[in-house]
Amino acid sequence: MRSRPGAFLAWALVSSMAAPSLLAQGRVRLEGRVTDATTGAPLAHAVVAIEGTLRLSETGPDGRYRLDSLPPGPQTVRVVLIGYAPLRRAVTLPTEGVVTLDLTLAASALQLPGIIVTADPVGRARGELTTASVIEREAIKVQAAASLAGLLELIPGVTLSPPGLDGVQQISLRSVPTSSGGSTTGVTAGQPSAGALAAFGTQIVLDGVPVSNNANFQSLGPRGELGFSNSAGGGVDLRRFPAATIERVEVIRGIPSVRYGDLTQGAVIVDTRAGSVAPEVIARLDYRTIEVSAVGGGPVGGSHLLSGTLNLARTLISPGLSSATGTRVALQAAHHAQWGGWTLNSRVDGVQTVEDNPEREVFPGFASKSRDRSLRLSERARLNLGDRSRLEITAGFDIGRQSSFSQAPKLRGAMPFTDAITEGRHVGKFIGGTYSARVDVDGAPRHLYLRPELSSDRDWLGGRHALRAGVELRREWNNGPGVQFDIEFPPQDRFNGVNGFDRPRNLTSVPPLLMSAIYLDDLATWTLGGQGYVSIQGGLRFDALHEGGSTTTLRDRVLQPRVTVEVGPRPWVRARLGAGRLAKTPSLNGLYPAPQYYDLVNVNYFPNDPAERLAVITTRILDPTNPDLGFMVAEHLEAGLDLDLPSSDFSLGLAAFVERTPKAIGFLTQPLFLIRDRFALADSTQGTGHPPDILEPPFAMDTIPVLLDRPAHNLSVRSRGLELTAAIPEIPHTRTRMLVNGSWSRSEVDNASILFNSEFSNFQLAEHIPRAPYWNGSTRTGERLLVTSRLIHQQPKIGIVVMATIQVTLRETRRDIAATDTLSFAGYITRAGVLVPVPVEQRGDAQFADLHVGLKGQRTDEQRAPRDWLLNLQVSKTLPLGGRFAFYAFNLLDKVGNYGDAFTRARLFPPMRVGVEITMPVPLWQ
Amino acid sequence: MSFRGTRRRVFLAPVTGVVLVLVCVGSAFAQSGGLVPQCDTPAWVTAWSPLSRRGNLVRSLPGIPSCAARLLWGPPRVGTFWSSGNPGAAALEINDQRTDFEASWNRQSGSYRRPLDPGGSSLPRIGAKGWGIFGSDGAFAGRAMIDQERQSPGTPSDLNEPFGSSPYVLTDTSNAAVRRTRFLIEGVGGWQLGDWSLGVALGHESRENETIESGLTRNTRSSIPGISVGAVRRLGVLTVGAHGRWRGRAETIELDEVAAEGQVHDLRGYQEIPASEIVGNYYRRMEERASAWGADLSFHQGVTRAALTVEATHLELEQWRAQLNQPLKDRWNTRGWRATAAFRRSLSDALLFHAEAEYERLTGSAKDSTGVAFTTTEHALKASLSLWLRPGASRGWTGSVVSGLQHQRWVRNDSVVSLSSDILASIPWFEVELGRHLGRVLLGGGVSGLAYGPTTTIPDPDRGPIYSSLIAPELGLYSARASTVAVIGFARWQLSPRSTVWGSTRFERLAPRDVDPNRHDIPSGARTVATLRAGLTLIP
Repeated sequence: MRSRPGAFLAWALVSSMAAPSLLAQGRVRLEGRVTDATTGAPLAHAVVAIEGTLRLSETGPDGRYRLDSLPPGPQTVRVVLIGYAPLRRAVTLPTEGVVTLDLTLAASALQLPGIIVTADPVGRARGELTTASVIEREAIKVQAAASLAGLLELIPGVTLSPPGLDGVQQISLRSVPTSSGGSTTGVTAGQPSAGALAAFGTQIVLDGVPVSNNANFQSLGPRGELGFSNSAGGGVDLRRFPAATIERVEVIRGIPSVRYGDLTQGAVIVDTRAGSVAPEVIARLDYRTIEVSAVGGGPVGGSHLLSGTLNLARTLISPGLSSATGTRVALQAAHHAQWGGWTLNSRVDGVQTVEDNPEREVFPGFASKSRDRSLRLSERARLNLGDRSRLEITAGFDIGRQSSFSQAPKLRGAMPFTDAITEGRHVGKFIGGTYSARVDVDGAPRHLYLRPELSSDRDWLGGRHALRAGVELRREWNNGPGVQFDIEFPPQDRFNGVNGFDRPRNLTSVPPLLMSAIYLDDLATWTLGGQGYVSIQGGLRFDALHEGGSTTTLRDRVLQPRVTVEVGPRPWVRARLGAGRLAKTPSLNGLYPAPQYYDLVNVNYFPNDPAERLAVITTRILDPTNPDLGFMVAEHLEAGLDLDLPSSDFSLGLAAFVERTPKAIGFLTQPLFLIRDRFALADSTQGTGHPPDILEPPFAMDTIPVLLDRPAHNLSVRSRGLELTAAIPEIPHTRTRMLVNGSWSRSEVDNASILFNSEFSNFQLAEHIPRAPYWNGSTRTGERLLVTSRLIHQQPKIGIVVMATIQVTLRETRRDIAATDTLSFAGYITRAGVLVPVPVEQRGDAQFADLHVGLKGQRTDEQRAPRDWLLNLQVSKTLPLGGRFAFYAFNLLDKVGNYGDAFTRARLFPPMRVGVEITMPVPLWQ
Repeated sequence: MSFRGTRRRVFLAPVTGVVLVLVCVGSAFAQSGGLVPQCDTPAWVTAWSPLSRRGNLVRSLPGIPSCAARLLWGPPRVGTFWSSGNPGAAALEINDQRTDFEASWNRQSGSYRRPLDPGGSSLPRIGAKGWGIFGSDGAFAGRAMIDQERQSPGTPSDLNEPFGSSPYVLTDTSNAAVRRTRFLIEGVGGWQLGDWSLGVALGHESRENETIESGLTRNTRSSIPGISVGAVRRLGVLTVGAHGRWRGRAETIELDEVAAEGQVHDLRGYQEIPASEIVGNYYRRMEERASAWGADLSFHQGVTRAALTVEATHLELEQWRAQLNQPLKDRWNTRGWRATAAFRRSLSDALLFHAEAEYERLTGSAKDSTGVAFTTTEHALKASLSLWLRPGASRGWTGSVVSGLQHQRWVRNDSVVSLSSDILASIPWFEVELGRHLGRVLLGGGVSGLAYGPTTTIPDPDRGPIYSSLIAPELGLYSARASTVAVIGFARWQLSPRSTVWGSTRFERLAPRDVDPNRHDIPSGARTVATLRAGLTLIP
C-alpha cells in the first residue's frame, strides 16, 4: 500500500488542505530527501507540499523531491505517504536560492524527533500576513482537549482550564475580564464585560464557513431570575467543536485580512479531519468526562474521497454536588470530488450539546436544561481559471434548534396580577404564596451564508501579488416559538417592578438580520536585495447591515480598510506593522429586544373575603428597540517582530497591540415615567360577597418613574498589550526543549449609561419621595500578566513525549473606577422621569441632603490576585499495534490557589483533573 | 487519667514450623496485601514505583499479602532495581520486553471490618504495565491504571487512607454511597554510562471521591506525585548504589450541606472530641511530603542473585481547616528507617529458591498549637520463603510453595488524654499453587492461609460515644485472633509466541477466631473478597 500512485494522493492532499490560497511566488527552491525514520530507506511516492499554495512534488525512487518558485518567508512543508504519520515541518524560505530539507517519516509521529506539540511560535495563517498561532494535529493530540477551547490554551494570554464540557466555553482574544459586568445595583441592567464583548467579536470559521451566534435568543434578559447555561449574547459556544476531530487551528490574533468580516477581534480558523484520514477510534476518560471519537476517510472509487467523524462525550459537571451533565453528539460527513474543472468539498455537520441539570430527590423543585442542536450543510467549490487564477464559491446553511428550560420553587407575597398581553386597563386578581416557576425558551436559528471569491496571482510593479476579491452575503433569523411561560407562575417572583418584565414572546415575528459585504485584498511581495523581502497585505471591505431583511433598505454601513506591512531584511528576522478597522453586527436580540411590560396598579382592594377583592391594573408596553443600533466598529493597531534562527532552532515572536471599540453595545438605562390613574371605590362595605365597582373618572393621577434598558452603543472598550512566544532550542543530550508564551494586557470598559441605586425601587412606589439620585457610569478595568512555559521531553525510539505546562499568573487585577461616596451623585431624577444634573460644587448643599447616599455595588478597591502557578502534565506513548496512549493531568499537584487576604482577590484554581486517552487505528482503507 | 487497659496474650498458631525459621531475608512487599483491593501485581514488578509509601505504616486487615496468581508471573526477579526499587539499576537489570494489559473486578463485603472500612464495595479496574529496552544503553518501565470503586451507603470515612500512622482522621455523618475514582501513571527510565548507571522514576496518582445522591455531599480528592532518582556502579559481581525518593500528597475534603445538615468527627488520636456542626460547608486540606534516601548492594554470580537496601525515611504532614492562609496548622512528623533484602538461587533446572524480607520502623509525633499531642512507635517485618518447581517449563506440571511471616507492632500514645495502645501481632501464612500445561494452555489453582495472633494493650472501649463507635472497634479487631483462607484458580493461553491471554479468580475470607463473647468492641461476622482478573501479555 505504501507505493500507491502519487497522483491521486497528491490531489487528495491538496483537496484536504482547507482553503489553499495562491501566494506570491518567489525564486527559491526547496529540495531534499524523504526517508524512513526507522530504517533510513528512501521513500518513493511521498507527496511533499507547501501548505497554503498549490506547490507540491512527489518523491522519486531515491526519495528525492523538488519544489520550485516558492514564496519567501515562513512556510509549512507537509508530507503525506500512506502507512506513515503525516509530517508537518516549519521552514523559513529566503527570497531566492536553494534550501535543502531532508525529511523522515515514521508510522507514529511520536517517533519523529522534534515534532511540534504546541502552537507554532511564529506560525502564519494561510493567506494572512498578520500575527497568528497555528496548532497542528500533533499538538492537538498531545493537548488531550475535549473541545476547541482546550486547544486555544496554546495561544498567549489564555488561562488553563480542565478539559470537559463543564459549561459554556468562549474565547476572548486579546482581552482581559473586567468585573463581572452583572447588575451591580439590582435595578439597572448588567453590562457585558470586556471578555464577553471580545468573545462576541471573535469570528469562528469552520471548514471555510463562518459559524454565527447572532440569532441566539436563549436568554432571559439581563434581569432573569432563573437561568440556564447558554452562550446567548456572547460568542459561539466552543463545546460544539470536538478537539478529537480537528485537524488544524489557525488563530489570527492580529488584524485579519478583509476576507474575514463580522468581527471586532481576531478569527479562529478550524479545519476538521477530512479527506484521506487513516481510520482510528479515540477514547478518553477522566473523573468527569468520557468521550469516544471515530474518524476515517479515503478514496471511494474514481476521484472521490469520503470521510466521516463521530464524537460522543459526556461530562459530569459537579459530581457529588449535583447531577448536572454536559453531553455532546457530533457527526460529520465530508465529500471531496473533482467534477469537470471544479474541485468540490461538501460537508454535512450535525452537533448537539446538552447541559442538563435534572431535578434531584435531595433538592426538589430545581432543574434546568439547555439543548443546542445544529445541522450544517456547506460547500466549497473551486475552479482553477488557468494557472494563476481561481474562483471559489463558499456556501453554508446552518439549521439550529435551541431549547432551554429552567424551573425553581418561588415564594412571593400577595400581589395584584394580570396576565394581559395588550395595553389597557384590566381587572386582575390576587396571587401569592409558593409555586413552581418554569420558563421554556425555544429558538430555531438559521444562518445562510454565501461567498463567491476570485483570487489571482499577478506580477505588477516589480512584485508578486495575490489578489482576492469577494462578495459576502449573510442572512440570519430565528423561527422558534421563543420564550414561553405561564404568566401566572412567572420565572420572577418580583413580577412587576422598576424595569418591567418579559411576557411570552414568539420569535417568528422578529425580522431577519441581513448583511452584505464586498472586499478586495492584495498580498504583495517584493524582494529586497539578495535576501530580504517586503510584503504588504492591504484590503478594503464594505459591510452593509440591512433593515428588516430587505437588501434595499440600509440600516448601517461601514468601510473597513486594513493593512499589514512586513519587512524581512534577512531570512531570520521579520518586522510587521498593521492597522485596520473591523466591524461586527449586533445580535438579533440586540436589534430586536423583547418589549417590556409594566403593570400599573390602579386599584388594590384586599378584604378578607377573596370574593370581594378587586385588582384593577393598567398594562403598558414599552419597546426598547433602538433604531440607531448598528455595527460595533473596532480599530486595531499592531506591531510585531519575529526572529527565527534556523541554525539553532530558536524562534521568538513579539507583538504589541492597541485596540479600541468606541461604540460597543451594552444597555443604556433610559428613565421614563408612566401615568397611573387612581380610582375610588363605589362601595367598600365588606360582606357583600362580590367586589365593589370603581367610580369613573379617576379621582387622581400620579406618575410612576420607570427605567427602560435599551441596547445601545453606550460602551467604549480599550485594550492594549504585549505578547511573546519563544521556542528555546533543545538542551543538548536531553531531548528536551521549551516553549514559552507570555501575555500582558489591560482592558477598560467605559459605560456611558447612568446608574441608580437599589433604593430606586422605593422611590418608584413611594409617592412622597420626590426624587432619587443617579450616578454617571463607571469604568471597569482588568489587567493580566500571564506566562505559560511548556517543557517538552521526547524519546523518539520508544515513542514518548512528555509535556509539562506551567502557567504563572504574575499579575491579575480588576477595578471599577467610579465615585461612590455620598457626594458622588451626578444629579437626580424626578417623579416625572426628568434627569436634573447637580453641579459638583452644589452637591454638598443642604437642599440635596436627601441625595447624600453612596453608590453601592461598585468595586472601586483594586482587587489584586496574588501570584500563583499551575502545573499540567501530558504524556503520550506509542502502543503496540500502532496505537497511542496519552495521559493528561490538569492541575497535577491539585493546587488550591492562593487565597490571599482581605485586600486581595482570591484565586481558586479548578481542582485537579486526570485522565487517559487511547487511540487505536482501525485498518479499513489500508 | 482514665486509663483502663485490657491485656490479652494470644499464642501463635502452630501453622508450621517452617515459618519460625524465617529471618530477615527477602524483598519488599511494596503494596499492602490482603483484603485491600490495591494488590494486583507481584511486589517485584512495581518495586521501583516512586509512589510507594515511605514513613507511613498503614494498618490493614489481616489478609494474605499476596493477591496475584504467582505462576502467571513466574519467580520474582532479584536485584537493585527489581527488589530494592533503585531506578538507577533499570538499565542494568531490564534486559527483555513485556507489555501487559489487564482488567479486573473486585468485590469486598462482610461485617468483620473496622468502622471506617466500607460496608461493601465493588471495584472494576483497567491497567497496563510493561518494560523494555531502547537503544543500546537505555531501559524503561511504566504502569498506568484506572479504577473506580463504588462503596455501599454507610461509609463514614472521608480520607483516602484513614489507617495510616497519622492520628488525624476525619469522618462525617453523610451516609450516602461513595464513588471513588483513581488514576495512576508512573514510569522509570535508566541509562547505562560505562560502569555507571543512572535512572529516574516519575509517577502520579490521583483520586477523586464523591458521594452519590446525597443531601450532604462530600468530595475528596488527592494528588500524589512521586519522584525517585538513583545511581549505581558495577564492581565485578557486586553492584553498589544510592537512591533518593520523594512523594507528596495533597488531599482536599469539601463537605456541602446541599439539602441536609450534618456533622463532622475530627478524630485526633484517642481523644473523645464532640462532633462539630457543618455550617453550610466544611473544608479540610492536608499536604504531606515523604522522603527517603538509601544505599543498595546487590550480588549476581551464576544462578545466584541477592540484593540489600537500607533507607532512612522522613515524613511531614500539615493540615488546616479554612480556606485561608491559616498559620495554625496541625502537624504530623515521622522518622524511621527501612531495610529490604532478597535472595534467589536456582537449585537445579527444575527447582528455584527465593527469599525476601522487608523491615520498617518509624517514630512519629503530632503537634498542634498546644505542643506534642500524640506519639507512635511502629515497626513491621514481612518475610517469606518460596520454592518454585519447574518455573520455566512449557509443558507438564509447575508449582510454587510460599511460607511467610509478618511481625508488626504499633505503640501509640495520646498524651492529651494519657492513653496508649500496644498492638503486637505475628502472622504466619502460606500459599501453594500448582499448574499443568495442556498444550498451549496452562491451568492451575492454589490455596493459601493465614493465622493472625495478636498481643494487645488497648484502652477501655467505653470512653465515650465517638470513641466507642469509631475508634474502639478498630482496636478491638486488631486484638482478636483471626484466620484467612484463600483459593485461587487461573488459566493462561498462549495465542502466539508473542502474545498470551490469561485469567484468574481468587476468593478470600477473613473471620475472627475464639472471640470472647463479652467483647462488644470486636466486630462480628466475616469479610470476603472476590476478584476476577483477565489480561493480555505481549512479549515482542
